Amino acid sequence: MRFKYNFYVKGNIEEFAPLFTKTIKAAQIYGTSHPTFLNFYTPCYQSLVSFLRENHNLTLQIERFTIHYAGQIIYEEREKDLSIAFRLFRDGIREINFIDGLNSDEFMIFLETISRSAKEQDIALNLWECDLSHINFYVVEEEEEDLGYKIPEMPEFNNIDYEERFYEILKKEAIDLAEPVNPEISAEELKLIKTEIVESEKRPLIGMAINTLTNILKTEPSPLVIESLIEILELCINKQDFNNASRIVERLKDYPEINVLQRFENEITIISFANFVNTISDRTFNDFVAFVGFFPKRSVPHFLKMITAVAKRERADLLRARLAYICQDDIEPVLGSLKNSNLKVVTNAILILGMMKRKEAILHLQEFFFHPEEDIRIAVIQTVAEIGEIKLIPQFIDDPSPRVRIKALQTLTQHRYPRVYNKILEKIKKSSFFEIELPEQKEYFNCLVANGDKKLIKDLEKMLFKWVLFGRKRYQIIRRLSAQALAQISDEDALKILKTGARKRNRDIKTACEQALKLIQQ
Amino acid sequence: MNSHKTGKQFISLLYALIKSTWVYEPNNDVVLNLAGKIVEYLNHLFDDFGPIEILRYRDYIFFNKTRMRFEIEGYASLQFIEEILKKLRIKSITFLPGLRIEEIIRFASILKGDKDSFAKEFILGNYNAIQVEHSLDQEEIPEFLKDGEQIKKTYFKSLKVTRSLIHGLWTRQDVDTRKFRRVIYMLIDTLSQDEFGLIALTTIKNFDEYTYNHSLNVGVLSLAIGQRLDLKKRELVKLGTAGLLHDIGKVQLSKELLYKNLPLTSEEWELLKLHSPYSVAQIIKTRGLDDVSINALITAYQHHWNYDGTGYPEDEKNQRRPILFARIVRICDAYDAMTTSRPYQPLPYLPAIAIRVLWSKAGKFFDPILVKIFTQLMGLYPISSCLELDTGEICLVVRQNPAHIDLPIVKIVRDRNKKSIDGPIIDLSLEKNISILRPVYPQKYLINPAIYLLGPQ
Repeated sequence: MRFKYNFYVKGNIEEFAPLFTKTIKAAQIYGTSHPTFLNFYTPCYQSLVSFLRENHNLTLQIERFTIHYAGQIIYEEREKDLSIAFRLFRDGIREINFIDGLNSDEFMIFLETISRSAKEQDIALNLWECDLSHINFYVVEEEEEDLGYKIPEMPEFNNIDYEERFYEILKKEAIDLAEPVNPEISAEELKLIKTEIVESEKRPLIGMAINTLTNILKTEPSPLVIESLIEILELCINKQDFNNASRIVERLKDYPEINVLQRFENEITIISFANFVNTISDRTFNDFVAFVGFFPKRSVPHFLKMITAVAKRERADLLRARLAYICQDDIEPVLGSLKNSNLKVVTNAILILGMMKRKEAILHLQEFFFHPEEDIRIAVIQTVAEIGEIKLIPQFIDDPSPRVRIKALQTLTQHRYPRVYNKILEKIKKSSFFEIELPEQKEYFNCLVANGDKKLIKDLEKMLFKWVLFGRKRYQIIRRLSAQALAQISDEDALKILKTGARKRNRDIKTACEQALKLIQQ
Repeated sequence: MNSHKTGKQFISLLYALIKSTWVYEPNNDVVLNLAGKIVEYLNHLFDDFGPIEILRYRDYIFFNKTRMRFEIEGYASLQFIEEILKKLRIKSITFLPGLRIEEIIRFASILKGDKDSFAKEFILGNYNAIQVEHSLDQEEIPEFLKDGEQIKKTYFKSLKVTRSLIHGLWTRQDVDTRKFRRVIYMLIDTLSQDEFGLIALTTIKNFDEYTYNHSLNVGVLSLAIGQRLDLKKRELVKLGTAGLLHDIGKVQLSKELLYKNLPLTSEEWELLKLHSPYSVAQIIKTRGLDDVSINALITAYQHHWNYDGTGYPEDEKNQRRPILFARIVRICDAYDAMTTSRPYQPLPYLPAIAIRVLWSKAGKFFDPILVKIFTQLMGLYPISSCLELDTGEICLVVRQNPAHIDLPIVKIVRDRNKKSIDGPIIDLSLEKNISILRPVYPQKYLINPAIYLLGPQ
């Protein structure tokens, strides 16, 4: 029986030892959340648990570069930077004891702590703070040669009347020593304090630390406090806490001599914001946009690059608007980006110029009117319109790209430019109109309605009732769009025309008018 | 299984059962139900722990060798069990597998009597699965800081590290923060083993080392409150650090100001008030910025904010609700400052009076719940208090009685003629014929409590 027991123990530790070494190494290389680590971890934990079930505990001795069990080396690494044994030994840990009942979380935390603690950190303290119920460790403390304590002498008080002093204090503090004291804590008080403890464990104190430090700045504007606030700012940025980040910058505005954001204005940091800008919640994103508002003009070109990574259009729009706000009335910080080789950056720059509504930007945009990239031309249309130079838009109706033409028509519809009316009408009347796609044809009629005057209804009536000898089927589309345009206008004259049309014998006119009237009823 | 939690649960069940057997008949449903629960719980524990032992040693209760900490939750049940064991001179009770409901009900009901009737009834009761070991009267009285070498070592090592930290900042030298972190860890471990021993050492007041002693004492007392609140280790580390560093900003003030033995002018007072913001800067300088130091800096800044929102420094938003740690440090800071000789206050407040001051200002200056916890911890006559008894003898408080905050364990140091004697240690809760007349200044009788605390050197 005894032989069997010993054999079993030996077999188990032989199984555990190599698994233990491999698991530690995997934790060092991959971290404890990586699937590769878990491949090592699971058998290692299972092996340890089965050992503990049989033997109740496992005590490992730590030496400078090795970990031992019963005199047998189970881990060895002589490279100081890699050796877990060395780190444990350096921090005074001489023995680690695993106890039966060890759960997976505890063992995982243990491995995480010993493998991931930063070099300058004290592993003994880190392990101790983990408060693991089934893992004990023995630490040797540095012996102090002389603790230097001696019994202090009682200070001598001459001419003091102790009785007088005693009663003087009682009187001053209005204390009656006979008054009963009951320090019993009621259930309500217990609940109150316990709730506060739970909440205070969870509550991040960053906000309060910012208040504290900014209050201190009023009495003690030391570089240390300022530097600390900037350090907290970095912490906030890393944790994507832009609400508190903004608070710090806002508070430090009173110190114009301090450039709070200097550390973060560089291209690398700003471009790194792209790592989270698509994944953060809407609320955090809004905080981020507000925070971006604190950056100086010179950081705008970096942000223009960063925005290219933003996937959601609304988010990109919000950020561009923020950059326009940063620039105030100065287009200079944006102009440089118009020369960028990345067309997305150029597009962003053009759009921001539009948001700034500065007429002098038109001069810089002209070279993009015929840019080969249609996205750029679309951005130009939007920007020109926002600046208020609508007269420059009609030329885009002749653009080779349907997307650009549609954008131009929509812009003219939205911003109204009556001078374009005749040009639109001519275009509709041309035979080439039948060659374009329906969405574009619709935009023509929308544009016509938006920019038409008294002549409009007459022109639509003419198009609707036009007698066509050839290409009747092709002309159906013009009748339908004219009828729809009249329905859109929907005044007395328009209705009269549609009702007349609905009574016509021409089936195409009749159908177009009936459908338009139905549209009005709906 | 966590022994402390298990023990706490078992003790609260035992407490409920004993209380119920004193009120109801043994066959009452309440009693039967509780006894059933306790037997079921014990059967479950027997599988993991084997026999279950409740041991009383030096005013502490041990559950299978794990010391049960006095915490606000379960305080009443632990206090009750401690009192019962002490009253009946029981050193330990061991519950063995095979325990029956009827047996534990009978046992619980005999705990109501005095020590003689209990001893008699226990022998006659023929208990198979309950064993009791009695203690002798002499063994009952704990010796003053017995086995206290380790505690002394911890305290004085901590003092040395605190001194070197503060001195280093004062003289603008590099400070060893690693040693400082280890000190917090040692203090927490020592407090969990013997809180009264470590608290006893905070009463040693060294006039020349006020700044260092005060920082350490506030740290120790804050941690002791934190343990009573059952804070997690990580939280204790934050609290201990905050307590030790709360006044560290004083290194930026002149020693002339700090040690001035005349009342401060209003300008000097304003200058002294700056130590709170200065502490914040020093904490950052010493520890950098992490969650421990952020807690410490907020605590340092708020440790003169009162519970009712008054105090200094001013807060621009006037949202002056100090955080829990600041409220704890506020009490410990005030208590230690009151009870220590200062240049402007050569004769300090007596500890018993300082406790009463905390009570009189609870709800205004101090958090009333924390004042209660502090009183449970220190007693009404804290360790090293000098008391005059109605026998005319003078004694020193050597240990608290968790069950009786007003009846500590004392050592007689002056006879009724006020002559120095190496008198006995007596537990006032067991001495019905002796009562406390009032606290007195030890200086009046040339008593140096430190000699009794530290032993001959």
